[in-house]
Amino acid sequence: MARSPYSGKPQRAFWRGGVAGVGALELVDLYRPRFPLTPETRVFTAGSCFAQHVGAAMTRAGLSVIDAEPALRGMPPETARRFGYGTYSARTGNIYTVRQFRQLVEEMLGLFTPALPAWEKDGRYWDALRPGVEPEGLTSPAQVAEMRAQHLVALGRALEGADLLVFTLGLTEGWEHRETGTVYPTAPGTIAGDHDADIFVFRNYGVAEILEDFTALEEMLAELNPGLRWLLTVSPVPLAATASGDHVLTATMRSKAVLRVVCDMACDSSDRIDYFPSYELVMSPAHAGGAFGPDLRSVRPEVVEGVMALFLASHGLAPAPEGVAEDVGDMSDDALCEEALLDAFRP
Amino acid sequence: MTRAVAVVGTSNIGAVKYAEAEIAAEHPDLSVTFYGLPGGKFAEAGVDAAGLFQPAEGDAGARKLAERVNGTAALDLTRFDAVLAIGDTLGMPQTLFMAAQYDVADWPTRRDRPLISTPAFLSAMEEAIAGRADHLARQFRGIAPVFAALAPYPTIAVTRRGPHRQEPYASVADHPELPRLHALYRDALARALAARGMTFVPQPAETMAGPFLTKPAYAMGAMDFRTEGKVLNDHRHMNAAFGASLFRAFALALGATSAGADPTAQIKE
Repeated sequence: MARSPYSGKPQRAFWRGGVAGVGALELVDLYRPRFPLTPETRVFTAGSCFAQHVGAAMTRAGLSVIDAEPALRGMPPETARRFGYGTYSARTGNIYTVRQFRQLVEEMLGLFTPALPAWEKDGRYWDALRPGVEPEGLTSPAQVAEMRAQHLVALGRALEGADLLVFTLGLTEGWEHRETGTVYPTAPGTIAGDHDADIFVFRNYGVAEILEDFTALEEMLAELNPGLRWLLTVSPVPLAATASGDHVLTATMRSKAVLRVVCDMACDSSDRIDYFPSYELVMSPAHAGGAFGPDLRSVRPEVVEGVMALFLASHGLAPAPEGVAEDVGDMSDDALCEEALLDAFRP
Repeated sequence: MTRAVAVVGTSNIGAVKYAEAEIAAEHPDLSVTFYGLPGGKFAEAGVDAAGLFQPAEGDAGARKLAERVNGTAALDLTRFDAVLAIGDTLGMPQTLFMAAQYDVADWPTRRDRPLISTPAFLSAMEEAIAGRADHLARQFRGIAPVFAALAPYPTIAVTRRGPHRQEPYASVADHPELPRLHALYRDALARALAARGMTFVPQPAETMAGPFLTKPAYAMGAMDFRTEGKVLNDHRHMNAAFGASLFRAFALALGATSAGADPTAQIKE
């Protein structure tokens, strides 16, 4: 038999037997962690709405997920969820773009002051940088600033104390303040505020920009917390809407491809950065019934559960006991995602 | 015309039960029946398909206790024109814990606690109340109109250290916004109960030492609802004077006539 560079490659190198013929979430040797994750590892979670599942699964599995702004005694679960308590390691709300995360850390370190930080609607004021955590808004811009200042202190404490930062990259599209470059997680006018093309500009970040943002972010946090390591994932959740002018399917694929490339480049740049292929696991054609729910955006709860079980197993950790894991169903459907609100603007 | 009312609840029905004679004199148009169970057993009790209020199915111990204390294991609520349900704290401990641990952003005082927005605080309070109000509604299923009274506020003694310390109340003892909190809580509770077809009977002002607290005099000589003569003096259960006052508030809400009652009478501390 002729020799080929593919001779002797393991099963994982071949589609047939590596993917085809194997259960969608039973892939062998898919993910090789760069560094161990133990129950003692202090994990900080942030990112786009899919990251909510990641954090929740880690918490259920008994990992030390940081909660810097916890729901204190007496706060019932639905209120906690609706107001962004316990969703991420701090009440950041969804961080969709790397630039948003970079600016958040710059603001936390006193290096950046966001423009137009409070958006108004019907006499109430929203924190423009995390509008989802206060769904009914606040009384005044001063109150927005007061609560934000407290949030930034908690955020700093949490990032300083973390061993691992799990960050799910969600979008490449964002809205910026023209003059200052302040980037917002939602388009003005979605939850509050009003879109004015003279003030806000649409941006669709490319690989180079995102990588630059990530590098800056990683360096800032390394200075704050030299031991910090990263675990990147890409959200498989498609865009609810695009402002790019492309069809939303094309825009989604472009966005995910860009983010996926950035993850690879970031991992190649440092052995302190790892990537977990939750995106690939969800997008795999091996899912017999499809990985998404009827809206073709929400990842089916059992798929989320399977993805996270595979992740935990890769670290020698057990997923949550059966009864607990069943809760994933509710969590999955209820992931708080401001981006989904864009659907209301359909023609 | 005499109306039949049932006073149903936890050990806290004791205060009303031991005021039976006074109640009979004050409210001759009301015929009152009492049915009580210890807190945990009461929480598991409820109305069955036939309208019988009784302990959880299969709880022989609770049935036996109900029979001994109330003379019957089950109370047929279809016989009554109204029910006064006493005993649940209806989301109050959660509300107090929240107030103790957070500074509410819209309130003027800052105690160096984490800030919480007013909508989040109100939502938490309403959710805590809703959970308990739903439970209460399920227990009684609207067989007879339900008038709900909170378990009595404990006396001021419980906010201090010692064997009677009650953490939720102690935690807000020095809260600068207690009157506001009390008003918000009672409004939210009244709304939640009304939304479920029940009427809130607030603890009479004459019995209160302050928001969420009862005057100590109303706890002195309080007796175990199961055993007449067994004095509790635990600052959580109240005496017959309290029971008479609470029943007066219930009767007022019910629209009953009062004979010889002095609604302005106040116990002296």
